[in-house]
Amino acid sequence: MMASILLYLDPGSGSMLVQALIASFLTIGVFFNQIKYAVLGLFGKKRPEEEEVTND
Amino acid sequence: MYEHLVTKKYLIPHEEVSLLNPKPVDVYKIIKPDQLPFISYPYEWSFSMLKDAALLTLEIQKLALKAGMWLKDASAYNVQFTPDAQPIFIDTLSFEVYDKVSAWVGYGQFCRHFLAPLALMSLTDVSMNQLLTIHLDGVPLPLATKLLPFTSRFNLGLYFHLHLHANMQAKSVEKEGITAKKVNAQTHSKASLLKITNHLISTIQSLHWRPVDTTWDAYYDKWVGEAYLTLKKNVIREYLRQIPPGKLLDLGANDGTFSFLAAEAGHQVGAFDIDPACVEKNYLTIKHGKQHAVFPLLVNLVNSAPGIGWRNTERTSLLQRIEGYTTGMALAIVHHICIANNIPLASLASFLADMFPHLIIEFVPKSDEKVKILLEHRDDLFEEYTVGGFEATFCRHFHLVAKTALAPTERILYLFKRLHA
Repeated sequence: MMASILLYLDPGSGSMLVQALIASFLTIGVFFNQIKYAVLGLFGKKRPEEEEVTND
Repeated sequence: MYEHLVTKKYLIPHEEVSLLNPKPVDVYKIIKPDQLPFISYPYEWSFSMLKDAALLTLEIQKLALKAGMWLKDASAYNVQFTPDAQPIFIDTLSFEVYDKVSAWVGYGQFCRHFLAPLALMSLTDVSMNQLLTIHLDGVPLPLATKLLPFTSRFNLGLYFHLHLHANMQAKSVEKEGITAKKVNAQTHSKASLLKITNHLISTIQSLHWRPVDTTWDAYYDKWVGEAYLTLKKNVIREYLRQIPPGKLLDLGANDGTFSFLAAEAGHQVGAFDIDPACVEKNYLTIKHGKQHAVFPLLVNLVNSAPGIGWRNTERTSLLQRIEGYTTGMALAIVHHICIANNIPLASLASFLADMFPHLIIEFVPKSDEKVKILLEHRDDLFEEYTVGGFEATFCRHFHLVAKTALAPTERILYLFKRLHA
């Protein structure tokens, strides 16, 4: 019974959820990158140009 | 947005067609895209062709996001190649204005159609794109993660988008109620969608496949003499002059030497080969503009792509898609088809006659070193496989226009014209 119910579930919701996890990880990555470039900035290194990312 | 994509040659142009009269209630507009001369499928592409199709899809997703839209699906079948082997997006109806920013609905499909096969081709085996012929909606992620080497987890992109993704899918199936609530509660900013898209781009870019030495790789350098090659090129140039330029298929194109000659002579050329390394090299040569543009495709002539999907018609067979080709070029493959694969000469002749009004074909006799290797460990059951037998068989369908011996070998080149138009 259980098995036949499972066949009707959409694995797509897993694809939706995992994006939230990845997005939060990437945001943390950006945070550390900012620290990295701030430190490098002290030594006169320039940050490479980033694409403009805007929110609605 | 449309003009921008068309100008960049990312999207196929279309025109609006006048509506039927009376207008059906559920019809908004009818658009007619420009028609491509040939449709191909991801299981016929080389590694870099699939990679470029993936990157094009993501680039378009990025541009769409910036314009307040997104792609509502990310199927590999939404990308085609132009006759000069440039990837182009063909599904104009994939674009959707999003009102509520949720997670990207095309994400799962993108990973199944592009990322999983590319990772498998790169890290497991290049023939893994053939999984797409049995999995119509892309390689299932649990299967991909099972086939990938353990070390693929150390690539952060592959860990996130394939391994973790597959785990989350399995978990969400176990805890359906909780998952549905979580998904509904999620909101994503446009910035986070762009971050994921950029991360997918860098993950795809991190995947490489370098063709290692195969039998066919550097075939001309390793196996055939300079004199033979030069003579063959000259003869083929001469034969091509006798054929009106049109659509030409090079069956067994190898490194494309003769496909490029045909393109130079003004033909629109399809360069088919069974070897992924040859198709890859041809694609990269064309991409970098080092040669006249031809259309490279991975084709095993004795087992070409079948019709798949519902009623075997969702993706048609290769043979159904090859239409309107006026010239066939079958150079040094007759022995592979007839001796290595046991296809009778008569069957090969009638197949080629069904397909092509003009045919350039090379006969490789049993005295040839290559054929000797093929016959080394088996009985020679091929009585009709002689110059006389070959000519008699082909002349049942074709008129012999020209014939040239390719000294110093015993191979012979023929130019045939079909008896019946």
